Amino acid sequence: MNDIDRSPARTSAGIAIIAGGFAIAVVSSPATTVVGGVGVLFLLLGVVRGWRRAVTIGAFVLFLGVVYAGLQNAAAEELLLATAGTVIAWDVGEQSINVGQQLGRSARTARAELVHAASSTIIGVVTIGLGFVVYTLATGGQPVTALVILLAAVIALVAAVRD
Amino acid sequence: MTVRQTHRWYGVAAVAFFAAAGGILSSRPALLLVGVVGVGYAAYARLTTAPEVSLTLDRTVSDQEPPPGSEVEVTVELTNTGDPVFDLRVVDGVPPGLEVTEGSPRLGTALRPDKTATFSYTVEAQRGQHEFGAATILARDASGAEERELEQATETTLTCIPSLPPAGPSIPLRPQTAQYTGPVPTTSGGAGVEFYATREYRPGDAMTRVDWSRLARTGELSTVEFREERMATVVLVLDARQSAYRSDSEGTPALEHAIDAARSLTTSLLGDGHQVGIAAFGAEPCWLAPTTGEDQRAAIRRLLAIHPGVEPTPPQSQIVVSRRVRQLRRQLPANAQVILLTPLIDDYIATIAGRLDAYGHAATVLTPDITGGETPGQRLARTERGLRIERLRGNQIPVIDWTPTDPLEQALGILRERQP
Repeated sequence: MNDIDRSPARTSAGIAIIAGGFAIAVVSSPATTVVGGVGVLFLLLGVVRGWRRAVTIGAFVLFLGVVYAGLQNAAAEELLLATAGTVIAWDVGEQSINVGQQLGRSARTARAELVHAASSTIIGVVTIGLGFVVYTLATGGQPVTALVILLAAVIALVAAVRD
Repeated sequence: MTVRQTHRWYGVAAVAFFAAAGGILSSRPALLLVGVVGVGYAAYARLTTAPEVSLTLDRTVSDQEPPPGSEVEVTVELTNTGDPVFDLRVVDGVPPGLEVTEGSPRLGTALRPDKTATFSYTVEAQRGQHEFGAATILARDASGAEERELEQATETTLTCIPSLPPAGPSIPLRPQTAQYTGPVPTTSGGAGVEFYATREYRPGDAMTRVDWSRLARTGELSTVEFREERMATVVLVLDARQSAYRSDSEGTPALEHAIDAARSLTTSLLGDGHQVGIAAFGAEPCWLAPTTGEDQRAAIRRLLAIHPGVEPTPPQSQIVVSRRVRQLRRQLPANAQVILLTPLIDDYIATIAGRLDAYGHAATVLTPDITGGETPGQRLARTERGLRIERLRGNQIPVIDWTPTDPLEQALGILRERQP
């Protein structure tokens, strides 16, 4: 009775699985569905048993599925949505474990979890929006080099803005 | 207050960049966008920082002086007096001596400025003075990349003083020679109620004590002596070393059983008119000089509940028992007898009982049996304890071997039968 149940928080665990499923669903490549499915199974194992490594492996395998779809010339919007879904699945899955470890399952944590998941989702939507705008503007015949330099510029900017 | 990086986003950005590199090498602009998403999240993690936390903490308990075993509801209110906090985790400082029986002393929430988050949990009251510790607050930024930890204190104390039982079983005391009249039989004749012996009349003997019927029968003048009964001075000595906090199979520490027994004995001994005092070999020196009366009863009740020398949680530091014993010897009145309450799980405490007895403080040992019989180790401990009891009895020290699931009365009855 003294021991605190430190298994992962349920709300986040559920959201992580949904996000993983979403990442598979938006890509039309069957290979991605298979590889991504394996990833989601690992993710599920991770958020049920509280294994951080399984969550990371699951998200990585899911991501490999998305990259494969990218190499097979999948549409840009599919890739953007699937990547964001994968990142959210990992982020919220890890959150479910760290909330479980710090607060335990019997504590009320849904509010913190929902706010975290919501802000991750908002960032995903904003990034996808920006990425898509850049993509449509830049791929009007411009070479990939232009996009690469643009990406490098953004990274430099992020690195420069220190808190 | 500490701020630390959780590093949880490092992998995400790295993996995204590898994908972007793959996009560049294979000339797939769409795949490059994967890198854009990665950069987006990396920027998010980098640009958000753990908020400056400014909170007020308010803790209320449903009963500040609850009876033992009762459920006390603890309500914690947190009000944000500063910036919004997206991920606020609170772990309340539940005193180590209390057990949470319902709910959780932890909360995860998001808190806007001037809003209040409330959570409550139930603890089971146990004897002692329980001070709540500071609540630990963990505030993360929205991305979870940075975490700020601080403590927020507010004073809350729960004092639980169990009452003494209205009646207790009486313990057979050791013969005693003291100056006050009381109920302990002595081995010397004198004033009393029970017939002890007759002796030759000596001038000055009271007229009421002359054996008149014998004078009528034989013509000899003799005096009746009654058994002298005297008030005893008893000090209950509690073994409160770390080892006395070992629990029985039901999880109750031996010390709690010993204190239960001490409560019952206090009631019966004071009720019979004896002088009762308390001492303990524990974290803090603990001594209450023996005396009688209602005030002493109240003082013992309080001491057994909240004295730091008999805390409900095991002492952190090593106790130098020999120093406690020396102190006790200085404090004990010359005529005092001791009742040592100990689980008797090491040889040393048995030696102390023998030593006190040898110093002239007639000793009795009351030992709650907390040993189990399941593992070979437990059986060994049980056998060793049995040998210690035999050794003490061999040294003419009465030992009351009490199984706490049985009433104390029963164990005391066995001792009474043993004594002629």
